[in-house]
Amino acid sequence: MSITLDLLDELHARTALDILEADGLIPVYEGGVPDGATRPYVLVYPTVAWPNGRLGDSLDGKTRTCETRWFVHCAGETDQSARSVAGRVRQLLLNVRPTITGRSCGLIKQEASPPPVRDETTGVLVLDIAAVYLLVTEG
Amino acid sequence: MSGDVTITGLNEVVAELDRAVLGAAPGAAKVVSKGSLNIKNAWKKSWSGIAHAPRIPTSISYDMTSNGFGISSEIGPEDDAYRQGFLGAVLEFGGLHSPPVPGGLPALADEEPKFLVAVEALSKDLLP
Repeated sequence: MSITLDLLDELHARTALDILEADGLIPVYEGGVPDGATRPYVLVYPTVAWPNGRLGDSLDGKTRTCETRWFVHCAGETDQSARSVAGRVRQLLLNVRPTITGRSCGLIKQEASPPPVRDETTGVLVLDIAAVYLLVTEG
Repeated sequence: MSGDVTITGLNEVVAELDRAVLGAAPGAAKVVSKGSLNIKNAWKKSWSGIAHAPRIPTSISYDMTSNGFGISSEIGPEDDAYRQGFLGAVLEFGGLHSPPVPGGLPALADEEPKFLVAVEALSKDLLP
């Protein structure tokens, strides 16, 4: 038995991560923060979904739309530090139209921005400003 | 070059649009209510069976408001200790130590095309 890997999900998930990592100013982690990580940093949880019934779907009923969300957490020692990180992330991601081979890419949009959270679960205060960025592609 | 243009029947069009706007409220309320209910139910389903937050689906509700110019609906977990609604933000968006379990954003995105179809159908019914 052989399995052919479809890298399309990976390409979608990596899009914002690659943009943030290429900036090189702030450490970027995916899915979790390693022990000893120092603030400021960016933590990203990507999700890739192929939902049914989107406006871009074809008349034959086949799913064509891919929705990629990045739940981005910007961690800093202070509100100002976290805001600075969040601002840099916004500069890098918002309204960017990435390129994914074989896909028609929309602009990266900010879908939600919940209130900041003071995280003291490790005994050290970390200010967390989160935002959800959304990319819709069709193909 | 200049010339005079006379438009007739505009008052009738305006009157029809005014009538349509006035007549839209009951139908629009139904459309918004149905959409809100669908989002609420989909969200509850997404958050069912979470081991550390078993009661949080019961905290999800919606409130509709009308200000005379439009009808809006706020849908989401109520900040309630017993029903665990206070965990809503960390579940939906994740945190520095836990990944997100998105329920509201996908439910909203799933409903959007159906909502637009319903609004379009409502508009067609209102205009002659």
